[in-house]
Amino acid sequence: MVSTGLVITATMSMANVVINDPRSLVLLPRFGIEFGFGDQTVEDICRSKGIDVNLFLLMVNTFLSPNYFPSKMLRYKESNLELLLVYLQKSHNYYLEVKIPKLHLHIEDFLSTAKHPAMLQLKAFFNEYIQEVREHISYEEQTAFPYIQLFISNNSDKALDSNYTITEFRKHHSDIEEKLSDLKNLLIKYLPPSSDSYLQVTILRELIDLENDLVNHARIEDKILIPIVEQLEQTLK
Amino acid sequence: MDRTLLIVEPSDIVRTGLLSIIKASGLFKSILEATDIHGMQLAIKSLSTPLDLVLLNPSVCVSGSIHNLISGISGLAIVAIHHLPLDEVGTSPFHAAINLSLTSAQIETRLTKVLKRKHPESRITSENTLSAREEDVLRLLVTGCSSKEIAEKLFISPHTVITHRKNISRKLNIRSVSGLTVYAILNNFISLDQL
Repeated sequence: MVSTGLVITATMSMANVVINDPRSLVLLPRFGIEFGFGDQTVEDICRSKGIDVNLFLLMVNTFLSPNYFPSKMLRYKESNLELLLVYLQKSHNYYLEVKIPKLHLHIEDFLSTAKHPAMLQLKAFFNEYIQEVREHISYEEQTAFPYIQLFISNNSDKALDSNYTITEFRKHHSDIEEKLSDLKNLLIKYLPPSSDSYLQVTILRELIDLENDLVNHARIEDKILIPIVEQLEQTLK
Repeated sequence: MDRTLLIVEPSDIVRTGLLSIIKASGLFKSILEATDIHGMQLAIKSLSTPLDLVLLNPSVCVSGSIHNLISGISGLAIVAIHHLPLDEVGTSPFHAAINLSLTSAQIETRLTKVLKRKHPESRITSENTLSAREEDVLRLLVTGCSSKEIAEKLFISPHTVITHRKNISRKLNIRSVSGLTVYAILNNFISLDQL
């Protein structure tokens, strides 16, 4: 992943943040931030949206740079945990409702242009992948998130009494990027050329985009969400 | 000497300095640079010649990952770059260490020593064609055999099968069995009706 190496700070103009590193574009809707923000700074926008600016910076910087380490410790607030969950849910929706259906359509198109017997297998492979993503997301939304929700809604007793701990979530965090990366390599290195090479470029762009987004998404879960909940589990026990 | 070196060092000053010292020594024909682990992985993947030595600043490794990293590229000679003249105790996973207080001549001597000690078969290559044995393993794997079954059929140990599988995935850049299946059909290792 390319990292521009620029650390986003509260006093930067939001427009510049997005222009400098367009990978941050996709984050704004997940925070409920709408475009047309003029010259407002990151801080202004967070304040008007009721977002803790330190959490925003932590998440954006963690998303953009694999090695980001915050200069300030984040103070735990229930509203922050809630914002994190909303954010993660919105990214899940984005994968399921926007990215994957789009990729699916492109791949169907691509398969119809080539007659090689391997294409059938490729179709099966892609369907397997979609199934894997759905399972992964549904585990998070139906098991892990409701557990975390208990801490937010002042039911931490219930959470601590249950057999579940966030460590399970960490373990369950399987590598859903594996097949995506395989698909990318198959397209670039091994599949017979299609009559429509722009279509192949489009598919590859979508694949690479989704792959990066998923890796960055997982990093937010691993580096921010899970440690916060682990800490809660320890202090409340 | 057609040796290849990879320098993994986040500091531009240190990396550029090392580069110019090592270039002047003539020990290596090509030198790749990376500033972090990600860059290092990209560099290793993109190799067109075997890699002989890695100069690595241990601070680029996330704690605990250093042993994983090194075992992942086992057989490769790795020399640590320390910014301070540290006690050499902390360098145990490495073959040698250099620090910023050494002279050019001392650096050259240390690297030469490591290169001499190394066996040629420990070079990492980016040779991407499958061996005949790997093709056998692939064929059985995609028709649904487990590692244990493959071991029995080919009269090799399950451990060897796992090594073959790792090498196949590394060479092809495809890790999942279903991805390998597509590859196998594309390259006529098997036909659809064998699945």
